[in-house]
Amino acid sequence: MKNFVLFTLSIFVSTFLSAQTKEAATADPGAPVLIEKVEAIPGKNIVTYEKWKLSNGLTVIIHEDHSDPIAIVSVSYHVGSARETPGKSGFAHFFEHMMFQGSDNVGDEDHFRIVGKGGGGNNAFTTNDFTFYYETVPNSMVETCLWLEADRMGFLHDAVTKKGFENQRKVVKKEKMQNQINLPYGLMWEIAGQNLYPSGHPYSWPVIGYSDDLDRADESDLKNFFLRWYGPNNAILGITGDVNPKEVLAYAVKYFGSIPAGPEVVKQRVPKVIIPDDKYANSRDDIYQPLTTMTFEGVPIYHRDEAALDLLADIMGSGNNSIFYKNFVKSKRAPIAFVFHQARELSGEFSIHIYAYPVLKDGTQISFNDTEILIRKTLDDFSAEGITDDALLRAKEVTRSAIWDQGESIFEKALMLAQWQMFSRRKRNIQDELDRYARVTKEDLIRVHERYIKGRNALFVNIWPLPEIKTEADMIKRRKWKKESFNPYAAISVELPAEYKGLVYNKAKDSFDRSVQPTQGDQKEAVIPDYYTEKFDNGLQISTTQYKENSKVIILMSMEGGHIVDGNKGSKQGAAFLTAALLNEGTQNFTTEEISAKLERLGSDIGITAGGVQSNIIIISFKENLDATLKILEEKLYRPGFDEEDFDRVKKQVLASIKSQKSSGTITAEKVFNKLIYGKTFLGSHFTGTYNQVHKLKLADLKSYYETYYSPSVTNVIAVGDFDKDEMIAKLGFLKSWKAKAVQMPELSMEELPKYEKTKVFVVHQSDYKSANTTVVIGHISNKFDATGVNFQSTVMNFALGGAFNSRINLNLREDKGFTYGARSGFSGGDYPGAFRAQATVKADQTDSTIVEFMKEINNYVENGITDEELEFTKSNILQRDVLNYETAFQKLGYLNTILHFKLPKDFKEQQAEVVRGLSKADINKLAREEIRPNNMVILVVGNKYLFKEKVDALGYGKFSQLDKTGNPISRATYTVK
Amino acid sequence: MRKIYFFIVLLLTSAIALAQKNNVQSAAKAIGLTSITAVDGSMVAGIKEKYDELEEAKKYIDLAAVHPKTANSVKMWYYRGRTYLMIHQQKRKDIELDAIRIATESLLKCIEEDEKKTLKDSTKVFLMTAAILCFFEGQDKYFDEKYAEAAHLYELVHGCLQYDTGKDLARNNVSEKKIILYKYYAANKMGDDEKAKVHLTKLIGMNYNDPMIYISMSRLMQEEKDTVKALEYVEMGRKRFYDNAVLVREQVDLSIALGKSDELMKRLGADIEYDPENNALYMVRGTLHQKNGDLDKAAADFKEALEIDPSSFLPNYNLGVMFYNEGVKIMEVAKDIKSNEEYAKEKARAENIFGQAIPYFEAALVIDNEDTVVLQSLLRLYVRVGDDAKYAALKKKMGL
Repeated sequence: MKNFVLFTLSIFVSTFLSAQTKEAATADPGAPVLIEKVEAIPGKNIVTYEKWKLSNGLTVIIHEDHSDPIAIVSVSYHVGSARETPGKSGFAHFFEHMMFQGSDNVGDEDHFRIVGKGGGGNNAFTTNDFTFYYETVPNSMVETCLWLEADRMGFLHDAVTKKGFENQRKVVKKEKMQNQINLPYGLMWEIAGQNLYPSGHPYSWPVIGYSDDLDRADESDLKNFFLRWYGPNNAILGITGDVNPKEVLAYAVKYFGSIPAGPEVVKQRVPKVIIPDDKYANSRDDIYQPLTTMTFEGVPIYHRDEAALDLLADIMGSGNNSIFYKNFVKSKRAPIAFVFHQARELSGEFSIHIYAYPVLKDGTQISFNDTEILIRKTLDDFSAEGITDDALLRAKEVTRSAIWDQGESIFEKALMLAQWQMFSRRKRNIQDELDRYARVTKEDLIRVHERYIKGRNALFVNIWPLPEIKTEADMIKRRKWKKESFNPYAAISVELPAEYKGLVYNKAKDSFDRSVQPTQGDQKEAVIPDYYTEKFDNGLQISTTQYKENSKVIILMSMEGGHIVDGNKGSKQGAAFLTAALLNEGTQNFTTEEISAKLERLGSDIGITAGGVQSNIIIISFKENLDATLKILEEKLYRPGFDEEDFDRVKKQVLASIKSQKSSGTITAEKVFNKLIYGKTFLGSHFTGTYNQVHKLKLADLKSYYETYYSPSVTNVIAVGDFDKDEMIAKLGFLKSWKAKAVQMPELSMEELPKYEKTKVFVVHQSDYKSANTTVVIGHISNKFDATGVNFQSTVMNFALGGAFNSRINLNLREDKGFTYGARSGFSGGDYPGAFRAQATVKADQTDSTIVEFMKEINNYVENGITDEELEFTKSNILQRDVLNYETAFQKLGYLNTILHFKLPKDFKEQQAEVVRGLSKADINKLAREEIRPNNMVILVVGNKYLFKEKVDALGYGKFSQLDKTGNPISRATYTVK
Repeated sequence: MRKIYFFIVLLLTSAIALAQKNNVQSAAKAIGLTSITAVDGSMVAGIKEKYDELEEAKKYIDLAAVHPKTANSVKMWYYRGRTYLMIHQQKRKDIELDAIRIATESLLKCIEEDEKKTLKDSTKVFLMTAAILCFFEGQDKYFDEKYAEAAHLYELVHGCLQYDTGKDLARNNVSEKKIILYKYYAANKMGDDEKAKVHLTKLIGMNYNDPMIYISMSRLMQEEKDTVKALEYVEMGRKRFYDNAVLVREQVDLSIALGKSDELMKRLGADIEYDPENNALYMVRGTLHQKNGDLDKAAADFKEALEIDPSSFLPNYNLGVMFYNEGVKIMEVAKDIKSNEEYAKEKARAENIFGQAIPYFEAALVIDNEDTVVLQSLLRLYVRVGDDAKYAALKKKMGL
């Protein structure tokens, strides 16, 4: 039969390849082979690189970038959740966690410690298709990072301990709880994947997996996973940055060359997704805005139709000229509506997302039907209206701008180089990406619209708010409601697939002592941007630095004020935020749509926001379009529209976002904590204002805010781009005509701030469902910003306590106890006093233990101080990490903004380094005693009080006081709804 | 006397009628309904879940269902529907196994008979609930292999669609297409080809998005020996699912049977031009070439398929088979050659071709190391080319 059988698409290609053989494990590193070398081409956007192959199959990609003395060492394993087996979901991500638990020559948690000590940072992430590990370091650390990565690639197997395994299992389950179950809309992607893809499809389960699948895993499962997928032949080692290719290649051969290859990995093939009929998946969540998504089958990454689908999505649903904006947002049916196409390795999804207002204009509750009917109508309207040349041009320019940004940092380059290797059949570079989008025609858009969208079946996911509580019975029902992650594979019996059978760990044999950590070489100085400052007669201060490597210009206009001015008595709270939001709309001469279109045609962006102490305008433009972009800025700044219709719509959007914040435990925690430490001062209220405050705001209030507080006299402008100072000042010359106003910043009297004679516990009862997490925030008022004084030194002092991954607080609460996905402490401070603040999100029944452990660490640190080792680590990290802070335009912007805002001297970084070098153990301990006050703290807990109240009351801080979600005291008694 | 009798009869009749109405009301009361209409004309929603009273409710309503006075009452149908719906929802199989069917039929009847539309809104709500549950029940019956019952339930649900103005059924994934699809499944299992064809035709007309409907229709036509129609359906399906492997295979086989392989060849060429990275299309064209005896072209297409996906088993396998069969053919002819010299020449030629088969079979073996045809073929090939070492190693691996 088989002689004549035709090819049939296999459902899942089985990789029956033989495992590592039982023959001799010593692999001869051999000489690496140069596979390709990509050089720069004038006029083209090319990431240059050398690609090598070692004899064990490891691909090594080296990209040189000598603009900053930094480097990224990355290892991308071509394995993600898509390689898992139904019933054993979450392994790839779980394994990512295990990779930080130590290997033969690197102790548990030492990966973080070693990289941190060298001034670097490191992290990893897992997707459906791959897992990416990386270190961002001063370039003197490259060899060390290669040693670290090689050790966990080749020598992790025997170092896996039961303790580490069990602990990380807890941490991963916590992560799922925190980032999915407890997050508003957190299960949306999981529900979508389950319903869009057929049973058994690798995209039908979430990357983080299901908790019960994680529960049934054991160490042998993880070790098998490691042996199957974590061989060098399934990895891409990326070394990007200020490196010498010959040198780093030699390191790569030394550390990785002896690691034996793993089993062969072949490309995964799955059947195309077919949606036979419209499908609906409906769920409830503790949210304010109902969410409806409509998802069509898309295409995988680098498919011939991907670029056209991406642009089609932009045209349909991005920006103020899109039809989804018009039909949903502009017509005030939804505050948020967008369309996007996401392409992954095996398939893609073209999705429409609508976050609707829960109540229609006539006051009735919205239903499932309403949103769907309007989505369908909008799709019909789109078909009828067609696609204009201008729409295509704008979408292309916006995309060009986004692609261009990807080539700026070495991290982005490392990621792109790895992805091109893994997912593209042919050689690829940034210029290819630019070209393939540029080539898309209107006919292509029409074709893909017909093929993938028009009249096609789709999956609808409806996430609906919980029913209103009107009676006691409703409340009781609500308390019983649980938000759960449903595992469709829970009942299946999982057999070990053939590819996992017979896997044997063959430890590499070296000709050198791998247990010796490489020495860190000499480190070059940071390339700190030189800058020029000038002040205009109207008080505007400008700071500019020339950045030749980037074709884009980024300008920040930072106006002092923000919420703190409208927070004064007699003023209108929330006006700053709403004014900024409204200024993003039209002007006196152009509608919102016209202004947006102008910016899109240039590939530029102007965004206006307001926060606690500032209102900011960010301008991003290609160099060649800067003049045109600044003309638009001038129009927005000098002639804002203040249109009644726009105001009405924007206000409604802001009110909806304020209402939505109530579902989030962390936002509630932030608001209430600020209220507790800043009291009734202008710092104690949230910068968006409360719902009632914003509701009362009129258009005249915003005009008044703009006329009073938008002034050059309180504005700093920082510009980063490839212009010299004279050119840049000339381009910004139009700001000289901006009329100055007398603006006074409010003073804060320390007497007005609440005082806590002893540490007190406050609880905000957040949620009624049993799967809730608790957010714990502990802290007190602290100092204003200073560059070298107490505030700065406090941040140094805090580093060992809670300022790093391997600080005491995180190691205790996350790594040791497994209470949380992450715990930190820190000092803040600006023009006004900041706070000392320690925070973690934990499972509700661990609330009391979390508080105990936090206070134990804080008290211990205050009483017994820092150890020698910790001090050495702190200094080593802080003194070396500065070199990482100047790579990108935004980083340079941040640096200059700090200098300008706080009026710092040019050499303040050197002064800081001097201070750090000079800090002794005694200095640190004194700071800890003086600046951390464990007996005068607020302990704020946001969560389901019924799950922890007795235990928290018994902690010795007295019975807790209960607050509402805005921080006002309320009775502790259980209330009944009338 | 007559008047008295008349009045007595009238009284008795009224009493009986009243009794029957009381049965309906009793059923209603039993399941907790207090009144039918609210102030605004809609149904009162507050129904109490009286578990223990369901038997009683059933008793009353069944009585009402057979009495001539109430048997066709709209209210009777309404309460009957709701009673049986509740029985089903509370899983009271002890009272009635077929509750959902009866519920759906009753509510359907109610809405059909309710000319004055007094109960329309309320009935619709419960009818939709019943229809959804009825559909799931149909699926359960199907999986229990009770196909006729399943078909009847699907038919019922289909009848409810016309009242689903709010698309509630579709939003609970009981769309018309799905109903018809399941009606097809049931008919297929019952061997009712005529009904199966009706349902498939409908689905095709509705553009149901699954290649299976075209394949199934084609197979039905083939069973009727109507190859022309069979090919028509396959081609219809290929227009929508151009790279579905089963459709392509069917098209190849049917096209050859109907002498239309040239046409197909052209079509495949167009498909390949549209999607040059689709190795499935090369595989199929290669097989068509192979069937037509164009081995060079077949090999070129298989190699192209391999180029796109080196991990694919079948192109490796088919190439191995092609060369193997070619070698065998040569040897078949050679064995009758009288001249030793000529024989030796042909043998050498065959061995050369066998040698070309080996790397493809070896590659196939790497992908699937348990495929017995590949294992056996390789053993024979190693013998033919005289590779004793590989022969021994493979034998050992096979445990021979």
